[in-house]
Amino acid sequence: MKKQLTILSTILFAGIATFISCKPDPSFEPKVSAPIAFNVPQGWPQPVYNFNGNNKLTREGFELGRKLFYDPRLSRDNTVSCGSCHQQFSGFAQIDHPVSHGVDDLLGPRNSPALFNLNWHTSFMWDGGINHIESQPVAPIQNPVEMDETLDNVLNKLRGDATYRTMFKAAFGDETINTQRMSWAFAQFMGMMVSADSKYDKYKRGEAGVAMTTQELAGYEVFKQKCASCHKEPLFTDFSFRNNGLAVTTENDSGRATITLNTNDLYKFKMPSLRNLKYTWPYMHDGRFNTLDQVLNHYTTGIVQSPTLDAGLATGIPLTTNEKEDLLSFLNTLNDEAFTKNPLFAEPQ
Amino acid sequence: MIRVHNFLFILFVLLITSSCQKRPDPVNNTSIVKSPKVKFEITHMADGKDLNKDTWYINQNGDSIRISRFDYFISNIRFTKTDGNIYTEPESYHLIQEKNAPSKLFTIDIPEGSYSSMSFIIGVDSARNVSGAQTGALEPNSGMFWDWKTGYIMAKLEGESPQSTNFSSKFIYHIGGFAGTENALRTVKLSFNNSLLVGNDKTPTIHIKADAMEFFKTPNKISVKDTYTVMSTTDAAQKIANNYSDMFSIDHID
Repeated sequence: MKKQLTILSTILFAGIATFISCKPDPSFEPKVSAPIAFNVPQGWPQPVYNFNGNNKLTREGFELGRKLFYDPRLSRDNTVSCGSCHQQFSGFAQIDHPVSHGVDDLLGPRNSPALFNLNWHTSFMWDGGINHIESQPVAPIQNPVEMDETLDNVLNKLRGDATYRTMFKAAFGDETINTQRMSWAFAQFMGMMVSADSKYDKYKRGEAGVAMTTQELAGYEVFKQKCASCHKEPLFTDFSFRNNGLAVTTENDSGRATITLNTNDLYKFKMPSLRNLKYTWPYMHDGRFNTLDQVLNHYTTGIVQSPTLDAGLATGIPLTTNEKEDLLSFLNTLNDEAFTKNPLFAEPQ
Repeated sequence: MIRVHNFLFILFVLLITSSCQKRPDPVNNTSIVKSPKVKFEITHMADGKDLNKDTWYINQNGDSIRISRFDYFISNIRFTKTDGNIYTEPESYHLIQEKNAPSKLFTIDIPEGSYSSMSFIIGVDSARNVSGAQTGALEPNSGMFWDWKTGYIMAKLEGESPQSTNFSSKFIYHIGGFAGTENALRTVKLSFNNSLLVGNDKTPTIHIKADAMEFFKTPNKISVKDTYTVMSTTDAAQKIANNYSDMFSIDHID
């Protein structure tokens, strides 16, 4: 029955569409794609960035942002796209890469951060140097060890491509291609990347048939007592900058102090979310830990004292073996597989 | 069957709402409203003479200086009338670049009247540093935007000096920062000796001089040996911003 209906619908639609089409008028441009909307998940705070300002969310803008995100021509030698270091299956981090991997096999100093729920972020990058989601994309494009391309070259490549000209026109009204429009399209694509469909989310929303196990609930209690002050629900980060007691390496990355030039900010990094940890390894700003066991062991016994160490970590975080197991069980409920497989965010075919 | 009904209903709505009417052509008969204007002509100087990229200058500290780049933003241009009313140019952002001669000549609309003074900011106001992607004069592809620490470079002076201990004897001053103690924005106020009269039949040109050597002096004497690279919001950036805040003067108006 259902199949028949579909066929009937298709025939009817095709017939009617032919009938109502206004062929002689070249200015008629059918909108073929479905509209798109940004929704704040139930129980979440209002985001820092929404699409109510100059940058209005449209399906066309989103699709343009998606094409740009996966386009290696944004790099100097046309080999590295945003999606190279931000892979969907890895929660838009880069799995198994301690640090970012750019053109000419150049390595950056830091781990590619996972990308989701970006509209709630108050700053970007591990050091928080970027203050606006629209200002973010130009940094990796121009960074000599990432995509190493000039904005002028990027814009010229886009302007020389008829598909892009059409897409910019569809998104913004005319074929003008500039950094602002490119950044707006990026913000539409990346701002839409909301990850809020983990088991934890379903549990919090009280969805039918979703129950946490005893161990997961025990882990949730451990989390609330020992982790939640920094990894604040529901985003599992408070977006603050903290020194979590990692040993300083030869890289001697000053972290937040690079931006503020304040020695009180030495070795502080932006608090990462605990969502999607299953996909985003390795961990920490330099990807030094491959497993969550290593991460937990760092907090129990690995804290290195220093003047800017976070006050809450002065004596580490005591965790028994059972508590660690419970905690890992809870953290596993924060993995949102639907997000990592959502075709909306996949490379366009 | 309900679904079929729904579908037919939607099709019906589609049918009656779609039309083959041609969209009106863009109106192209905008009547030309003549607005009074003021022209700016900026001349770049070094020690009171026309800036020349091949000339060696001596700064207050005694260092030899040759200038290869001298760029800055002028924003928030305001004119104060003799009656005290203030006119602020909307969307007032101008990037002035030594190597780009047309950038030193620009015209703005301004209401008719008699003006006693003008002011502007050297740099880009803080609002546009925190509002995401910008365009026009504020496109970030001009070399005047920090992508790693969001914000505009308010003013830039680059060149060479044998006193620089940089490996290539270069000095690079990129002055930025818009908030708190990092704020490198400086306001310039220039008074007109005689009232500036602006009207439909009177478009004055304000000839402004900007002296690049002011980066190095008053109130802070800059030694190129000690300060050859400024590329962040350091104390040196504040000193240099204070220095160049008086680099502008009105040469004449005609």
